[in-house]
Amino acid sequence: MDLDVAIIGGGPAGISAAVEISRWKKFKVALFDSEAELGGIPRSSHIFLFGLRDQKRMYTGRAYVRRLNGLLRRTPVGIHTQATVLDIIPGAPGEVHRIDVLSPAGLDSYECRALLLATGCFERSRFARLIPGARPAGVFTTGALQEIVNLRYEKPGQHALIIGSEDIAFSSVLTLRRADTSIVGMVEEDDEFQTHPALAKAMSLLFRFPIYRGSLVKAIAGNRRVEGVVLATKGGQEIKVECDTVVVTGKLEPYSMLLDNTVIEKDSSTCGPVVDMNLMTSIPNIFAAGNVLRGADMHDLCALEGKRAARNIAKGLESGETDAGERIPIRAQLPIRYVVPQRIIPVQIESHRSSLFGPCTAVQLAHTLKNPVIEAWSDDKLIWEHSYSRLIANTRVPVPIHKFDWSRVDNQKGIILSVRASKS
Amino acid sequence: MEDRVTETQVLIIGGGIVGTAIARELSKYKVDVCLVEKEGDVGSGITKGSLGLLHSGLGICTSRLVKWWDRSVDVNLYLRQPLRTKEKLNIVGRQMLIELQPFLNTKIVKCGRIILAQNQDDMKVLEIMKEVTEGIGIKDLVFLEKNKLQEMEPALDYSKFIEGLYDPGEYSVFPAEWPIAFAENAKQNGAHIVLNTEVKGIEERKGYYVIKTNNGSIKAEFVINAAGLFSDEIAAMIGKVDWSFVMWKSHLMIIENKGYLNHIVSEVIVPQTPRILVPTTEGNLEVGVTMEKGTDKYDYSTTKEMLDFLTDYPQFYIPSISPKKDMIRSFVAYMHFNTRDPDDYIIEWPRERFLNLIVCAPGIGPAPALAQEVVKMLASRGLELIERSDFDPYRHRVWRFIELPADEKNRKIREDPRYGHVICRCKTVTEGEIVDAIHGGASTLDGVKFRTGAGMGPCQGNFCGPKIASLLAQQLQQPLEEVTKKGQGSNYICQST
Repeated sequence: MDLDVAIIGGGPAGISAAVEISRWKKFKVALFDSEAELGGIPRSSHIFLFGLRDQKRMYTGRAYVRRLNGLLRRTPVGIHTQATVLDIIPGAPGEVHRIDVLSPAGLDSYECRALLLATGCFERSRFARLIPGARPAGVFTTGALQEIVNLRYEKPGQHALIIGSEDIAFSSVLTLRRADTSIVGMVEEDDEFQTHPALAKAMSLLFRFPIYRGSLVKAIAGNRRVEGVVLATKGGQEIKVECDTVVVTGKLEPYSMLLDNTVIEKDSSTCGPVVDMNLMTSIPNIFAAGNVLRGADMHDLCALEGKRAARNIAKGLESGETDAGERIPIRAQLPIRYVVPQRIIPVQIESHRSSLFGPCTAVQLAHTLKNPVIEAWSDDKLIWEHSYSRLIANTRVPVPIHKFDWSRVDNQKGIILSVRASKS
Repeated sequence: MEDRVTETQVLIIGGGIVGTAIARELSKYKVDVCLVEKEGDVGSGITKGSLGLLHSGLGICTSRLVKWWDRSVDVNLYLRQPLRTKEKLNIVGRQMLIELQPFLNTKIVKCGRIILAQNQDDMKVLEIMKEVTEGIGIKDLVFLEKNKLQEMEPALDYSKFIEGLYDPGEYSVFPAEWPIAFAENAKQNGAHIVLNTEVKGIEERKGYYVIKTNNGSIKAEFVINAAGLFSDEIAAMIGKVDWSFVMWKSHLMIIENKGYLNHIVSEVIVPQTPRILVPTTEGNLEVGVTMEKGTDKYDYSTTKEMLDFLTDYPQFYIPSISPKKDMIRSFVAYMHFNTRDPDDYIIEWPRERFLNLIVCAPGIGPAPALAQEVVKMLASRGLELIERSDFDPYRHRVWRFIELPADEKNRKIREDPRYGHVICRCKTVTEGEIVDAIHGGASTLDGVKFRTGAGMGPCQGNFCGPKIASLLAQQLQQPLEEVTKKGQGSNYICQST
């Protein structure tokens, strides 16, 4: 089967890309998603903050999904659900790409002139986070929790302890309360909250649970079902918090297994594909958008990114050219976890605008920092710096690359972003 | 569900590799067999936590060195010994397992093993190992020089190693799937496999035994104690026991094998922290193994110190490896030895028709050979053995859908579209396979996991878990809140009070 565009992943990024590219009215587009229902992560979320920046409205997750589905079904895009892409076989330059898809209709291959990877992200398990202890039932990531509570209307447990204090940890407070599960506490490894302190304090007061900062989980207890969690608190005490449920939150990673057996370049700091400012990967006409690029960003930003990728795909297919011009590499050093995109396109620097309301070059920090200064270096030259009062972990920080001193940049060596602590 | 068993000819206590192998062996005859297992699935005890090595020559040697604490003691004292019962059984049993593999649809990674020498002292030990294994009749071990090693394992840090001893016959298996395979085939052939049933007491009567369990009593002519870590407690129910167990608590880890290793690799064994990397049947890398004195049979809790050790040491072998990034899972396993004969099995009849099988590591390789010996022993004490003409050696079903050729895949999907619906994305396991596993005997999430691989990938069941739980509820016709992870008391979601 021959397509112009194949989109892998039917979450906010994938659906928005499909809807956008349909505006050109001349491309044969198909979208593939493993689930029976499109929508991605928002399907299982009930929070009332969906659609702000892309639909200019506020929806619950499910209503947002209905909205996107509605928009998609008005287009001629071929929708394939319960369809799992098994392999991506990139074509030689100028040739078509191929994807192999498994579905209840059988095993099929599709050839396409352009491909968009929008497979989203997954949460690292308690094992990947090296949380010690027994391995009982009752330990969930937020994704599993949301699916159980919001899609199956079941109660995960009676009393839950939450590990992590990013925004996503607080959304699990709401999910747990929806199921009438009580929250016995929240544990954060770092001394700082990994979200706005006001949010953390308000939630802790409203839902009456303690937040143990600077505390480590020593062990999850219980051989069959969770019986409690042993914590080593900041003061050096060891306390056992009784509970029957543990929610492991945060630490989202791109779901990029499809790249593993291909020549598509991966960024080891994001675990997602390397992309340029057009959202094109290292292979011409293979693009990527959404959380597959970096782990976790807000759904509406992913949607806007999908739209942007779609426009670039359309331009490329129309002109027949893939812009293979110079790319300047940009990367980050810890505590900055990554920068996306990883390749700057020189002609687009002038028009780049960093924004909280649309896709742009952005970074995320590994943990919350007070009064950090982000610096941009090229070789041994400082080309930009900016001080912030507080940068919250795992939230998007736009980087105004148009403000860099490009006259001093070594295009071969590229740019490194790092943090200089100004005061602690 | 089966009717409750109240009477049998041979009662096997314990559903580990030994108990289930015996069940299968006995199911070849017109003998009434019942196996009772206290956990929610077979293989839930020691077997599940095994390193998964199918020992050949190097395995025998390294097992002999497991207690070589004091390096000043001559290594010959450990390596040069007469062949033990467990080792004899291993040599025979290993070959039987290899032949059984296509019948049972299990996996064996025929990777071979390399022990690396860092210096001349190590080389001396390896030379003795080669000599000892040749003396046993295993003659295919060969020394490999650096350049040959580099071809076979390019990722290793050769600044540390001078040479290696290669045993092509040492393989890697997935321990949990063998008891499942033996039990399923045994059940197909008429054996009763009874789960969630714990033996509470044993009475000897005239000509038979009464075994009291939490699910009622069973009358049996013969009793086999194959209860692994709990075989001391079972033995004590029938008579005085003049031995106890020394337990070793081990930590193990599974990480992604991103082209790191093709063979089992280790240095010359360092007791208590043998650093061994094993390519697994799932295409991952097992990182083993720490050993601490164990005190509590129910303590399966990992600790930070041991996890840190396991995440740190692999870089000693492979500088480019990053266990933390490639992490899949970590867990605790037990190794135990009896105090009467720490280096071997105890196989004895404490009563006329009550057989104690007190085994220790290795257990997987020897199992089928031990099972055959046990059947002979039962016959010698009066068990009548008439072969069944309808014994079916093939375990039904079981293949990984993703591994089938394309036309087979399409054929299966035409028969049942559920084979086209992927449930576990990480391992590409389909709804069709999961439903098959449930029909084949899986009644828990772990049961589905060990039969299909679903939940064994990087997300560790957080994506597919709710779906698998729903399928279990649907197929077993029970409410979702009764679905468990691994048997009674491990409910997946909230148990309503």
